[in-house]
Amino acid sequence: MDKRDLAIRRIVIVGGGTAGWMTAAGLSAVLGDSAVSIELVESAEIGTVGVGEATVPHIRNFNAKLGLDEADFMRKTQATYKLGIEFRDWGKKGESYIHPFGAFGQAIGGVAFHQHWLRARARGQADDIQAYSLPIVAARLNRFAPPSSDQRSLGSTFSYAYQFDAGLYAQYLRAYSEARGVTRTEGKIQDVALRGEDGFVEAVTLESGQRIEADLFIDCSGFRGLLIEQALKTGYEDWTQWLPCDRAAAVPCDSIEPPTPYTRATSDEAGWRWRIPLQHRVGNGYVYCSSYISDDEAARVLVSKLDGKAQADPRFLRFTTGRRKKQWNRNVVAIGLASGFLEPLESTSIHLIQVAITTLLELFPERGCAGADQDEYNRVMDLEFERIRDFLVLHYHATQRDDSPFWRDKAAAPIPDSLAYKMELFRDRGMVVKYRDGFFLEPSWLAVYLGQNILPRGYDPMADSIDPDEAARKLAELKAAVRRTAEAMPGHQAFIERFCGARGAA
Amino acid sequence: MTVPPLGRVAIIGGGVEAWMTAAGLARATGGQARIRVVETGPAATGALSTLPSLRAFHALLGLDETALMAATGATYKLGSRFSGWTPGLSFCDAFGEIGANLEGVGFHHYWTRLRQAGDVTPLDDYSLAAVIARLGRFSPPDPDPRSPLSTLAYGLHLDAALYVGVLRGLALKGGVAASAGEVAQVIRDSETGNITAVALTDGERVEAELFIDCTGPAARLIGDEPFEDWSALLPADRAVRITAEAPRDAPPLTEIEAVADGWRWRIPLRDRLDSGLTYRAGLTTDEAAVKAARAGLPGQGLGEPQFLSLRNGRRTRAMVGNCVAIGGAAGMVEAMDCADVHLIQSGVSRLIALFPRPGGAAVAAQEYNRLGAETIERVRDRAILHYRCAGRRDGPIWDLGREAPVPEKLAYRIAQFESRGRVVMYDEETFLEPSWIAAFIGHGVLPGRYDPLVDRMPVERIRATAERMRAIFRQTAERLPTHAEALP
Repeated sequence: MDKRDLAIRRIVIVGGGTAGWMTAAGLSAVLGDSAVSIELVESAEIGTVGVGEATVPHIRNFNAKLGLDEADFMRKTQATYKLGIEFRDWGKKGESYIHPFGAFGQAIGGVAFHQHWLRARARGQADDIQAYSLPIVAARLNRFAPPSSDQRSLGSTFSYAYQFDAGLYAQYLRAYSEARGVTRTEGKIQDVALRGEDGFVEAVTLESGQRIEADLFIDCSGFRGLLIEQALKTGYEDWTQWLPCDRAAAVPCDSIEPPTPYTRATSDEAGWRWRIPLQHRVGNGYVYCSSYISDDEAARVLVSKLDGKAQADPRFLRFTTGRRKKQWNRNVVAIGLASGFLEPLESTSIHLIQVAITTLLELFPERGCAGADQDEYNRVMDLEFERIRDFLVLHYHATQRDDSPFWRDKAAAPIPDSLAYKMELFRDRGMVVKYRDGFFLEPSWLAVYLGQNILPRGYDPMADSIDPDEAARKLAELKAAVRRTAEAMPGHQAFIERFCGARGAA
Repeated sequence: MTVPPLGRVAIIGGGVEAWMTAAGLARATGGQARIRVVETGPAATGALSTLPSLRAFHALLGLDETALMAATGATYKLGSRFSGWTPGLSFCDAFGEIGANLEGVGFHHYWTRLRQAGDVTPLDDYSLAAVIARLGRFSPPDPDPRSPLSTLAYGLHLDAALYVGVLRGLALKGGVAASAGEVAQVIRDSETGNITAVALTDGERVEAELFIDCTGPAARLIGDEPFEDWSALLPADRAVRITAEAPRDAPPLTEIEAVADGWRWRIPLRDRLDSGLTYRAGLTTDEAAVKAARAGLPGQGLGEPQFLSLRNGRRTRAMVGNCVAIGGAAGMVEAMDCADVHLIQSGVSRLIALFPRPGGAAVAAQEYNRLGAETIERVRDRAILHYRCAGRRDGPIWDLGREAPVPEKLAYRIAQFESRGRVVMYDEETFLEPSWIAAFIGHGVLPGRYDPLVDRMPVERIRATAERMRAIFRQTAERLPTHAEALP
C-alpha cells in the first residue's frame, strides 16, 4: 500500500480554552511544515474553565519548544513568576510551608542533605528545613531572579514557573497557532458521526449544518467529553473515595499589594482556597466538597477572604475527580478536563495537558491509530495521573486539622496502597520512593512530608559516617548563604517591571 | 570491645561480590562500622566484562583507574559483539548513542525509513562506539560536548582474581578485617530468626549485627529462603571456561558468539584471552562442550577447562532480617549481557542506601527486595530476548530458548518496538535505550512502522544526513589510536 495513504492528513481539535489552544500550538509547532491540516472548532457561547492559572516549571520547556519570547509572553498574559506554592493551615492550623521548585541543600559525603538535617535536628542543631532552600527564602522575601547558569553556584539550585491568566494564554497561543496554519471554526457541535466498520469518529456536525471530517480528533471539550465520553462511551474511573472535593467557586479580585512569587493554597473547613497573584489582579477560588458545605456558603467564605474587591460574582464549577478509562480511544485523544480531573492543589492541570501533547507527538499515529500506540499512550498517561493523585492525597491525609467534619473524615479515610507504602518508607527512615515516569521528585515529597509534620522515626544510618559537628557546620553555612543570596535578589515586582511589565508596555 | 555506631558487619565469602561489598561499605560507613570478611568458598577466577556504570563505583571508592588497569591486566571495552545468533547477522551492543536525534525524533526511526526504502546499511555504522571498536581503536569520552566523542562511554575487561586483590587491599586499608574460615553453622535467634553468629569450623564464633551472604550459589546463610527458578525461561545451566593466549590487536569488545550448543564468550585481557561456552548439561556433554569451547581458539587454549554450574533465578527475598545476599547468593542470569558485576554493584549501592537501622521497620527490607527484583528481572528479560530472537535452528538449546514463555513486561516491550520502534523503559533498568535498540535491530526485530514525523524530512535529505554522519564517525574513528596504544 502506498505509504501516503496511511498518513494522518486532518486533525480536528474540539474545544478551545487552554487545552485546545495548547494542543493546537504544540501540534502546529511540530507539524506546521508538513501536509497535515489542523482545525480547531470552538464556540464563543461555551465558557472555558481556565482554572489552571498557576503552572509548574515544565511549562518553560513547552514554551521553549514553541519558541516563545518569554518577556513578550509574560506581558501578554499578565504573568508573574512562581518559585513554589505556599500551603497554609495544612499541618496544624496556623502553620505554613512552601513547596519549592528546587532542592533542599546538597548531599554531604554521598548522603542526602535532608538525612543530615534529620540528624542535626535530633541533636538540636538545625533550623526549619525551609531555611535551607533558596527558592523558599527568596519567596518569603518577595524576591526573584532567574536561576544562575553556573552549575556550581547556589543560585543554580532552583527553577521557576509562572502564574498567568489562562484565558490570555489561550489567546496568545491562538495567534501563534493561526500564524502556523491552524484554522479556527466558530460553532457548536450538534452531532458526532461514528464510522460503521470500526466505530471511529468520522465527522462532527455543527449547528450550522457544516460537517467536519478528520482522521484524528482531539477532544478538548472539557468535563463533558463530547467525543471521548458522549460519543465513544469510554467510561470514567472515579477517584472521589480518595479526593472527595467535587466543586469549586472562582472569583478574581483587585490586588492590594505587589504580587508574591508564589501561589497560596490555604486549607478551609470543607476544602481549600487558592490565591494566584497576577500582574493585574489576583485569581481566587475555593475547592470544596458539596456534602460538607453549600454553594452559597462556600461563595460567602471565598469572598470574605479576598485581598481586595471582587471583580465579579463567583463562578461555580462541578467536577468528579478521576480519569477517563482510556485517554486515547479509537481515533479520539482526550486532552485537558475531557481526559480526567485532579484538583489544582499542586498546579498540575496545565502540566497534564503538556504531557499529553508531548506524549501524543512521541506516539503520533497513522490513520489506523494502531492499538500499540494507544496502549502505550494510555500507559504513560495513567502513570502520570496516578502519581499526581497519590501526591495530592498525601496533603489531605497528612493533616492534623480536626476542627471540622470534613477534616475529621479525611484523616480517617483510606489512602491508595501505593501511597501508604511511600509514607511508611518515609516514616521509617526519611526515604523518598523514586520512579522513572511521572511527576514529583524527591524535593516535592520532602517539602510536603516535613511541612505537614510527618517526621521520620529515624534517619539514614549512613549519615553517621560524617562527623555531626562538621555536618552541622555545613548546614549553618548553607543557611547563611541561602539568606545572603536571597537578599541580593531584586524584588519580584521590580524584576517584573524591568523585564516583562504589562502596564505601560502593552 | 564496644560496638561502633553502625554496628558490626560480617561478610561471608571471598569472591568479587565479597570484596566489592567490603570496599563499598568501608568507604560509605567512614569507619563507623566494624567490617569483617570471612574468606571462604572458591577464589575468583576468569575475567570480568563490565558496563560503564562500574566506573561510578570506582569513583566512589576513590580508585585510580590507570593504576587499577595496570594492576589487573585490564583492557578497555566499548561494547559487546554478538555473532552467530541468527545465521548471517552480527551486531555490536556498543556504549554511547546511536546516530543523533533529528528534529526531536530518535535516529533509529530514520534508519527504519531508509531501510524500508531499500538501504541495507547496518545500524552499527551509525554507532560511533561500534565503528571505533570494530576498527580496533579506542577513545575515552571527550569532555567537550561539541565533539562526537563526547557521546562515548566505556567499561573494562578485568582479571577477576587481580581485581579482588585490588579491592581487598583497599578494604583492608579502610579498616576491614579479613581471615580465612569455613562456615560450620549459622546460629539464629530462636524468636526473631535473625542470625546472631556464624560458627566457623575452627571453633570461632563470628558475631555481628548484619551478615552478608557472598557465598555464591551455595548461599550458606540465606539458602533457606525460597529461590525463584527461571530454568523454564532461560535454557543454559552450565559453563566451561578455557583460557587462551592473548590475541594480537584485540578490539575493545567482548565477543558473544552463538554456536550449536550454546553461546561462547571471549574477553580479551592484556596477557590472555578468557573464553568459554555456556550450555545446557542435559543437551550437551561436558566433553562436547570443551570441544565446542576450544573450536576456533588459538592453540586450543591453555591449561585445564574449568566447569561452572549456573542457576538462572533469584532469591525471592535477598534481604531477610539481618541477612543480605549479594551476588550469586541473591540470584543469577546467564551473562551474555555482562551484567553480573553490575548486579553486584547495584546490590551494594542499594545496601548503602537502605542500610539497616537499629529498630527500623520491615519496609526498608521490602524496598530493598522490591528494587532488587525489578533490577534482576529487567536483566533476565534481556537474556530472554536474545534466545527469543535467535534464528539458529541447529541445536535443541535454541528451540528451548525460542519457545520459552515470555514475561509480560518483555512481551510488551517487544510488541512496542515491533509496532513502531518505541523503546519502553521501566524502573530500575540496567541497559540504556540505545542498548535496547541495538539488541532489537541487531537481532532482526525491525519496527513495522517508523515515527510518522520522520516524513517531515524528504528521504533524500535523510539519506544525505545519514551518509554525512557515517563519514564523520568513520573519519573520527580512523584518527584514534589503536586499542593497544590507548592502554595505560
